[in-house]
Amino acid sequence: MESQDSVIRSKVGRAAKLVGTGAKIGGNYLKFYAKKVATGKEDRESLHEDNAQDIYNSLSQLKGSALKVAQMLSMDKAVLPKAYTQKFALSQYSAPPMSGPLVMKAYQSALGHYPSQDFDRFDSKSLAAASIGQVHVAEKEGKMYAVKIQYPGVAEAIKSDLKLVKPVANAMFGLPEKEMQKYFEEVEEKLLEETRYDLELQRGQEVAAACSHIENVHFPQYYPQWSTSKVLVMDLLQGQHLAEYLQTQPSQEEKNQVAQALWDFYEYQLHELRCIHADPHPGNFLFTQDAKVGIIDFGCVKEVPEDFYHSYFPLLIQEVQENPVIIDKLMRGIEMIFPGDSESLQQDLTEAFLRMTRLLSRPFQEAEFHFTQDYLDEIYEEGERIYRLPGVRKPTQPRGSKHALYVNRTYFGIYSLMADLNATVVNRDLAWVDRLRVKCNL
Amino acid sequence: MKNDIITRYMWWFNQFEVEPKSVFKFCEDASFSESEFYLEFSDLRSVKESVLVHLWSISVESLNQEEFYLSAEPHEKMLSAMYAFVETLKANRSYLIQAYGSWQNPTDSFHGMRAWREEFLSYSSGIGLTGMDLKIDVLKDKTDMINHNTLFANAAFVFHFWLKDRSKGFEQTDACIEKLFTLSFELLQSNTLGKAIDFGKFLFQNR
Repeated sequence: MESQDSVIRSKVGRAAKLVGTGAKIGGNYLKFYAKKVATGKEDRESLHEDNAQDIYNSLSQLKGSALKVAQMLSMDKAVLPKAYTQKFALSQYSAPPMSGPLVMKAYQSALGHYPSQDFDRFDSKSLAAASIGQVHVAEKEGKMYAVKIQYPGVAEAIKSDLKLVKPVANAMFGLPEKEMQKYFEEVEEKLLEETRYDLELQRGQEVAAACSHIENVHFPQYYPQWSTSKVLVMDLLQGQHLAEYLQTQPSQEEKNQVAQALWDFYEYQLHELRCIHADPHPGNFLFTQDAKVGIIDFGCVKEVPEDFYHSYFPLLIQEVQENPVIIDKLMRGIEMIFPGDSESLQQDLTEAFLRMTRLLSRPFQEAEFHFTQDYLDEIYEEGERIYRLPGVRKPTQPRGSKHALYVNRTYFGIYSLMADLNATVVNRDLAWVDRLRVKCNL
Repeated sequence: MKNDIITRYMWWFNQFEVEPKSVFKFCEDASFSESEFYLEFSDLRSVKESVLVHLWSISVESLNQEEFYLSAEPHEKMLSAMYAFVETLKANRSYLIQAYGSWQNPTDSFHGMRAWREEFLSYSSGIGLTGMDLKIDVLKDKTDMINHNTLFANAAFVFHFWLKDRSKGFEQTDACIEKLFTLSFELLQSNTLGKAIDFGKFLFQNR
């Protein structure tokens, strides 16, 4: 039995798994201190590496939301030390699959018949894990399809999972449970949405239609006649994941072209559609040799509310960053400072936040911008500096709008894709800047 | 003819919510006569026992037309059969709840399951499923029997689980099958009993 069939879905099983990990991490810390005593040196890197290994090992055996949380954490490189993110990055690509018969059964339950009725060929071994389901290749009349099949019972498992992940996450971020509540609600809502493949199909079609004019990006066609809320059939797109694509040594022009395609795609979604593909992990982009990008997986789409948009994005404009009155208003609008905060705390937070914002808005200040790893490292460093601020590290209240969660995650994801590509992007359409300027009476 | 009788039996049970009292009553207005009934069954109880056999057989038959099933490994065949079985059960849930829903625990079921058990065991050995092998010839038949009976106990458990399953589309039953059977396959293949016997032999020889 090659494929790992023992999906741990009972709550007890899952809890035991996480407790086991906790114990192991505890062991790693002991090792760290023993080493420190013995050698007098701190070997933090290897501690993080050991911990990442153990967390990964246990998370990769849990299906569903725990894997999803791992993916989210791995995107947010600014929060986690390097070793954690590298291990978590692995979880973006593969997780142990469900057994062949269960795949057949899941398909049959969803559509009322086996895949053989719809396709000439159906691969019962999965192509890839999709964190709450897995992808299978199918063929009909010479055309290839990707069939995404959801793990049975995954929607029910999510709530119980999040309850288990909560304490771990709380400990990681150092916030008490009550304060994290609104963020968890946001994540839970998004995760539950992801279990609805019918919604994903609809969004995939909508975005594809709205973005068809954007150069060098393409989307799979979806097939409603073969899809349900648990099974999603789309074209099998050709192309490679970023890491493989970079190994083929594309030229700088080619890299710029794919980066530009992604840049235009996200700018358009955010500022025109107000609705973004919020899962920019490397597995969702397929790069082709003619320097085009295929975009898949519209399970996680963040709708950006009007209020939040108009409090958050003006901060990217230079004149706004220099205007204390507007800043104060915006900071309150995005729930970064509260009326009860002391004068000095307000000042600290505003300053820190502005430093970060200046850094993050750099790509929008000029006609074009070149993304490098150094720029990204600067962001991480700034992130860690902010994290060490007393008001942030020992928070009295949760800071930041819940909407920022997925928006930030998306932008971190894109920035790191851009840096990996080491590409230059051109700001072709900054009409949104003018619109926001008018809105702020500038 | 046999299938007609079984179908009518289930229909009767659903309709009147009691078992038919006599074969005479049962055959009244039916498409078969009482004498035709006796060609297939000796009494109504044996009809009742045949229901699960019938449902099991049509599940396996439906799979026999599927390419993925024919080329599957024995343990995958077993899993597929179980998934197909619970799918067939679904179509007859009203009857099954009426007839078996009052069971309190899985062991209650063994009595009414004798015929299905035989069918299951012959299926299980027919697909070439091998489990633990103690490498002791005289015990070969015994261990085979343990293997197949273990799997049947799983199947009976799943059936019972399904009767009480209230999840949407009975997906918890699917999860139950996946977990329970793969666990058994692993236990049977890991030859735990063989190791226990080996240790016993060692103690016997050395103490």
